[in-house]
Amino acid sequence: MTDYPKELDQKIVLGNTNTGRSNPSYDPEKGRESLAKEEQEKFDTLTEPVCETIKRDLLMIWVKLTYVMVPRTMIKEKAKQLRDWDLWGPLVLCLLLSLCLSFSANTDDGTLVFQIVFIIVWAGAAIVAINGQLLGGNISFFQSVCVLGYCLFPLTVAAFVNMMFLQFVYFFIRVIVVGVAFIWSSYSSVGFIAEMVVPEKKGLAAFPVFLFYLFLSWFILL
Amino acid sequence: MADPRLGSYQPPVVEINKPRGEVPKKEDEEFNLLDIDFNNNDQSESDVNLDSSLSDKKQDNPVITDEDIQSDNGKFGNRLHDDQEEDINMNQLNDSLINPNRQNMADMEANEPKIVENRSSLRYFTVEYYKEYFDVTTQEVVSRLVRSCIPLYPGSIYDNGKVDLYGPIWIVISLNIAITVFGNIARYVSFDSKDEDIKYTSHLEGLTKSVPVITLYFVCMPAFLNVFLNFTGVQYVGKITFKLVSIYGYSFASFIPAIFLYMASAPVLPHRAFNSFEWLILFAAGFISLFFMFKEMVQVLRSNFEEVKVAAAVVCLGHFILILMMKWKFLS
Repeated sequence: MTDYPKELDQKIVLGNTNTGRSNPSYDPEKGRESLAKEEQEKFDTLTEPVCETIKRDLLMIWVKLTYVMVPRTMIKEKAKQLRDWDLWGPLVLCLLLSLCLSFSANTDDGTLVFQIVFIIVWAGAAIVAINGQLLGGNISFFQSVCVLGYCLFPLTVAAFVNMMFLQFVYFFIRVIVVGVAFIWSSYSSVGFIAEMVVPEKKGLAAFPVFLFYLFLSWFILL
Repeated sequence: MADPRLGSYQPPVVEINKPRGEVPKKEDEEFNLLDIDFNNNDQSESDVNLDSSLSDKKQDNPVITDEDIQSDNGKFGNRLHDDQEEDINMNQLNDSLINPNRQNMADMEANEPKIVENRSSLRYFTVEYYKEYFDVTTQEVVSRLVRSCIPLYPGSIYDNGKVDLYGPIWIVISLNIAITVFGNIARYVSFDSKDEDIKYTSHLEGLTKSVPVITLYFVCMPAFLNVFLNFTGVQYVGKITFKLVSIYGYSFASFIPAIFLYMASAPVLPHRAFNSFEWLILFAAGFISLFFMFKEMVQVLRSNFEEVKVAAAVVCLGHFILILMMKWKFLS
C-alpha cells in the first residue's frame, strides 16, 4: 500500500499547473498522458487501493465543478481547466438529475421520465455542440459536452431540493427556486459557448443553450 | 486567334490550367450549351455560387472556324429553297458550335493536369459540407423569422442569397418543445375536477408521439417535393434541395406564436369559446404558413402552375393533417 506523495496529489488534481517545479514540456492538451508517463516509475495506479482512485477522481470532478460554477473573472483559468475535458462529471450529474426527477415526477410512469431526461441531456448536449461547430466555433465537440454537463449542477441541486423539501409547498416558491437555478446554469455556460464563435453569431450559439436548460427546468416543475 | 473574317466576334480566351476549385462566375465568358437561358428568365445569380457541383464544369469554348461551316455546307447535294437553306445554315451553325466543342474538350482534357478529386458520398456526413448553410448572423436570422411570421414583404427572405439551415432546424426543435410544454400547461390550467380523488397527472406520452411526427414531417415533405419536382421536370433556379428544407422550416415559424396564444388563452376564455378559438388560431397559423411557403416557392420555380398543382395540393393536405393532429392528439 503505497502512499503517493503530496506533490503528485496536487499535480493531478490541479492539472499540473501549480507545482513548484518547472516543467517545460507540459502541454495542457496532453496533460494526462505526459503525467502518466512521467510518474509511472514513481508509483503505480494498479497497486493503489480502489477507494484512493475513486477519491482522486471525485476530487478532480469537484475541482472542475468549482472552477465552472463559481463566477470568476479570469476566463483563461476556466479555459485551461476545461481543455482537460472528462465526461465523468456530466454523467454523475445527469444520473442524479434523472433519478431525482423520476422519483418526484407527477406522472404515473417514473421510468419514462428517467428515460426522457437522460436522453435529452446527452442528445441535447451533442446537438448544441454540433451547432457550435457548424457556426464556425473553434471548440472541440467533447469540450462543449463537458461544459454543458458541468453546468447542469444548479439544476440538479434544484431538483434535489424540490424532491426533498418542496413537494407540498406553493407552486410559486418552486418556480422561484427553479428559476434561480436556470439563470445560474445559463449564465455559466453561455459564457463559454459564446466565446467560441464570432460576435455576430453569439445569439445564435446561445439560444440552443437556453432552450436546453429551459426544457430541463420545465421538467423539474412538472 | 481573332479571325478577321468573323467580323467583330472575338473567341473567348482558353485557360487550360485554371484551378478546378474555382466556381466559374457568370461574368466569365463561359459557354455551356446545357445552360442556355433562352427566355432570359434567370435574373438572379444568387444560387449559382452555392452549387458545389459547378466547380467541376470545364471551360467550354466555341471556336468557330470557317472551314467547318463550309465543309458542312458541301454535304447537302440538293439545291434548297432560300429560307430552307437559311434554316439549315442556322442548324449547321449550331452543329458546328457543338462539334468544335467536342474536339476542343478532348484536346483540353489531354492537356489539363489530371487532378483527382474524391467526391465521395461520405462528404454529406461531415460537418464541413453543411457549414456554408450556417453562415448567417443573429440579425439575419431574426429578420427572417419576423418576415416569415408576417409574410407581407416584397421579394424573398433570401435576398442576400444565403440559404440557411440554422433557422429551420431550431424552429422545428422549438416547435416540438413548445407543443410539449404549452400543451401540458394548457391541460393543467383547463383541468377542473370536482372529485378530489382524481389528481392532475402530466401527459408525457404525448411527447413520444408528437416529436417523431413533426420531425418526420419536416424531413419527408421537402424530400418528397424534391423528388417530385425532379421527376416532373419542373424548371427551377439553381439547387433547391436545401432551399426547400429551409422554406419548409421557416414556414413552421408561424405555429409557435399560435401555440403560445393557445396556452395563454386557456385560463382566460370559457370552455366553449376556447374550443372554437383553438381551431381559429391553428387554422390561421396554417394559412399564414402556406401563404409564406407559396410566396417563396413561386420565386424558386419558373414554370406554369398546372405542373405543380399536384405538389401544391399535397402540401396543403399535409398542413391540414398536421393541424388536425395538433388539435386532437398533441395538445389535448
